[in-house]
Amino acid sequence: MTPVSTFAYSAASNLLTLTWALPLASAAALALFPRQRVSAIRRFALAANTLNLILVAVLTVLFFKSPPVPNTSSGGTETMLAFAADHEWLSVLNVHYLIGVDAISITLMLLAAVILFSGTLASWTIGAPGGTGKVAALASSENGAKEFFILLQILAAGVFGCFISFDLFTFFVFNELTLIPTYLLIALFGSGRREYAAMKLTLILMGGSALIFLGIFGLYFESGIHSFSILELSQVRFHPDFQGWAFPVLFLGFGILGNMFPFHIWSPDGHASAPTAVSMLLAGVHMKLGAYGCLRIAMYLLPEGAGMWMNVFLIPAVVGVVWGGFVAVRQKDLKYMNAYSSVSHCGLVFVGLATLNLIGLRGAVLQMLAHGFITATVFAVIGMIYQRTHTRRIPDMSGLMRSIPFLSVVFVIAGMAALGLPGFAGFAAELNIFLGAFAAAGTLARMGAVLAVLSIIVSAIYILRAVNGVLHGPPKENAAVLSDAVPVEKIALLTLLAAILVLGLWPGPVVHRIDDALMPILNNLKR
Amino acid sequence: MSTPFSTPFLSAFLPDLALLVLALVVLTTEIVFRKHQARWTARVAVAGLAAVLILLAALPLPSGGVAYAGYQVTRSVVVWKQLFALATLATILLSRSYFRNGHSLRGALANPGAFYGLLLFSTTGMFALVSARDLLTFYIGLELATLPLYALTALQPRNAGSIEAGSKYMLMGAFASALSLFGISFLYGAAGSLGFDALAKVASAQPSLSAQPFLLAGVLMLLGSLGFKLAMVPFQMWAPDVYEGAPTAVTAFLSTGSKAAAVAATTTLFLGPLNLPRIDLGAIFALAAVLSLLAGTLGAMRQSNLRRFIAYSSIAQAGYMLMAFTGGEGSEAAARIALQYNLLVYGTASFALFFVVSLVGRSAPETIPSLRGLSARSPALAALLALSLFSLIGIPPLAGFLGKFLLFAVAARNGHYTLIFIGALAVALSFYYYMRLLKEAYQPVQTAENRGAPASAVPLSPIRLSLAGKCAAALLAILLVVLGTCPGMLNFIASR
Repeated sequence: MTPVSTFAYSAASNLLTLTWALPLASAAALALFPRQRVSAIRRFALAANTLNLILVAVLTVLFFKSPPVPNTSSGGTETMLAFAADHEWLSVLNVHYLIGVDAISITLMLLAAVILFSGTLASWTIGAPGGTGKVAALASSENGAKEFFILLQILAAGVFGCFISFDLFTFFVFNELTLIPTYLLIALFGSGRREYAAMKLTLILMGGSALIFLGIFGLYFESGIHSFSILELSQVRFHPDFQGWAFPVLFLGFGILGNMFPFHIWSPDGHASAPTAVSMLLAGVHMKLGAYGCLRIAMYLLPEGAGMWMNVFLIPAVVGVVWGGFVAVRQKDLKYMNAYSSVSHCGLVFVGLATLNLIGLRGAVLQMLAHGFITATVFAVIGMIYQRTHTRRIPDMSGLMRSIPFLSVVFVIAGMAALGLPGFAGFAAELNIFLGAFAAAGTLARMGAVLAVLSIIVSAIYILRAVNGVLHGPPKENAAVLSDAVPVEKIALLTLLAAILVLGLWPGPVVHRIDDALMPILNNLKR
Repeated sequence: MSTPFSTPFLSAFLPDLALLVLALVVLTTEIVFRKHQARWTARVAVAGLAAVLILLAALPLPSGGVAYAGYQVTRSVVVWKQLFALATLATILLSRSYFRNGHSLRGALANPGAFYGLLLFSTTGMFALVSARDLLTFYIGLELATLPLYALTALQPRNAGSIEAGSKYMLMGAFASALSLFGISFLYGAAGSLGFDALAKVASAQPSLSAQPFLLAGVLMLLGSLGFKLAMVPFQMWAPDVYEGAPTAVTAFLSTGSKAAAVAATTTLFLGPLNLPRIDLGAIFALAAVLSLLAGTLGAMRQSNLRRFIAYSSIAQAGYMLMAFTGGEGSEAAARIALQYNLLVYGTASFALFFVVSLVGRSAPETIPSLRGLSARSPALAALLALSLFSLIGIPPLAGFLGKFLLFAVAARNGHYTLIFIGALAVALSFYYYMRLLKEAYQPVQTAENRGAPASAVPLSPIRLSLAGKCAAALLAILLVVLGTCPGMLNFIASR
């Protein structure tokens, strides 16, 4: 067995560890706060998440200034990592704490850090008197802010841990670490049928985990090298019979997490019931773990399996794109509308993955980022509108543009971004996906591409309808008492919008590095 | 083979002898101590067990182990003994309050000498069981480990449930015992000897099943008898009734110490001399594992009595542990490590659960609705319950995750991927039923504001922990986290 020595140990890897250690440490520190000191608790959480955003931003800048030398040799299948480190953890199972980032993971981490930061700001009213956080499950006289932020920080730690792990065991541990906080955040702080939604979400995601678990064991034992390292396993040629069953198992397992039709059923209820920050983090980041796993683990490690199965998975992906859009049109609740729109947009990620060519894969990665930022913005602004109007039903709202112009304008911009209008992040992503799908061999992919393109029209229908219904028309009688966004909320939304615009107007450098990072995966697929 | 009374001989057998002496001494404490019998008996038993644990840890053992006649002690056997002694120690600590009045709705326990003495005799039996090198010692150990448990189950003579549970347990146990004797006689017929070495030789020499039907009959009967102790389907019927009726501390011992002994016995035989290379016992174990997971999962979903719930949960946990026996040839070491580590973490989580149950049970029946409002009555206790349940589900970074992962890894070795998938699904479903407990614990207390809701029957006074209770809770919580994150203990077990 070859030891992992393709990279030099770098001191910056400690910073990488800090990205999950910091949220975890802040969760532990928050546990020591007296629960009445709500203001101190959220300030502390904000400080921790701001620090983490700075940390991830610094790492991103470092990464883009001196990216790992790309594997230019044709057919190079080894992923080059920056900030890598490798420590043996469990010798019994050859488990390593193997961390590092490439362009895909570092940009997704930046996505997570930005959303965590804005999510903290967006949940500023949790626990405040009259706030929307329904802490009924905690005795009502008590304050939920402490538990809320502790759980949010643990969820964040799990997400960051996943993105830096290049050891399947560690990856799985961090992925499972997100489950309990997610469940509790929805069950305790959500709205509507929150316990039902939380249990449904957790059970289905755990079912997905069961598939992932199975796949990971298969990879470990069938590789013949008894390793969990993604780097080592990517150099193994698995037996086609094994790939034939392990690829769909892993792809499906991660697909469930990634909101793939028809296993998306956990997401609309879950997202609609979750409190704002949790919706943002779940739809914006946590779901991306699924697509990331599909790409990094299922497709990279089992490329021949991907070749066998991708046409099969293309069908539900396209169906999800079209169907999600049509269902979103029927929704009256804004959060459900955005949740189904997420099904449609996440379907596009899978269409991109199914193309198995560079353009499509690039589009899929860009779509992960774009959808993450956009859906987080939409969930944030819906949450803020809900705080003011106390309803999320489109027919119950009207004329908000006059009373809360800032939030309304952000809603319009986010809607346009979700439509995939040029200039926004979604455009760059969707364009690449459609081009990739047309370029892919086979009639099926092209038909899929045509259908997927048509879905843009459907998204125009539901977004414009919502914008028109909620923002325009005569104001409701209580409109005068509505107040526009406070500075905290403005910062949250502007940060997200800035990210959407930067990625939309200036995707070049990011695309360049992502292409480098995709090459090993693509070369594996071609081998 | 070493000569009696040489140094390695003494260092191997001293702990067992010490335990036997301790059991006899504890039996007599009732005569010696006239006042505070329960307290002093418990103190003697705890001190003695601590001494046994120190002996087990401190006495050096040659790497190949020591064997004498039908008895052998190797390093991995010592780990089993440490597990048994720890379970007994925890049971004694848990049981102390039950000898005082007003600490359980079921009434106080009497006869501390008999209680602790029987417990220690059972532990001695377990020690003999894992040290066995022939079927006779094995059988004696098995019986010595089980017989005291029948009496312990029925040790609350004024409680009809306890008597019922004791007699049920004994009747079923007698059947299992007869089964094992019958099986042993078949094996003797096949091998011509009771020794494990002879048995292993015969077992590995058989070209196929049909060549030696006696061997197969013996193996299956022994498996059935051990399955009874394991609470493995289809021999699990006794578990819910006995768990419900036995005194709480005995239930705790049944689900930890006794289960550990059953797993150890199964390991001793089926990963030892009866690890038949040409007979796929793995398939039988896999089937039993799936059925146990199914029965445990379905059963646990519907219970409202906490002890019955724990019984079904322990049936499911037995299902996971059975997966370690499906690894086939060459998996013995990995299976042993996985089982020992898993029993350690399962035992820790179980005792944390029983600790909470015992405190809730002081003023309320031991049912799931009695847990309601626990987070308000004692946040620390509710947090301990959460940790214990998450560990039982197998959520990382708690210890239960690593334990299950190791068990599944053994099954994966032999390509039992369907089994792994079913196991992982059972984990997902276990989230549902374990969360029922936690939901109750974190449910808001019933107040006048919750109109329409039925008034809670539970007294909602805060639960105050004694200093010892606080220490125990903290220790259990730390263990649950540390065992899962720091591989030190796993490496220790693996090195043995």
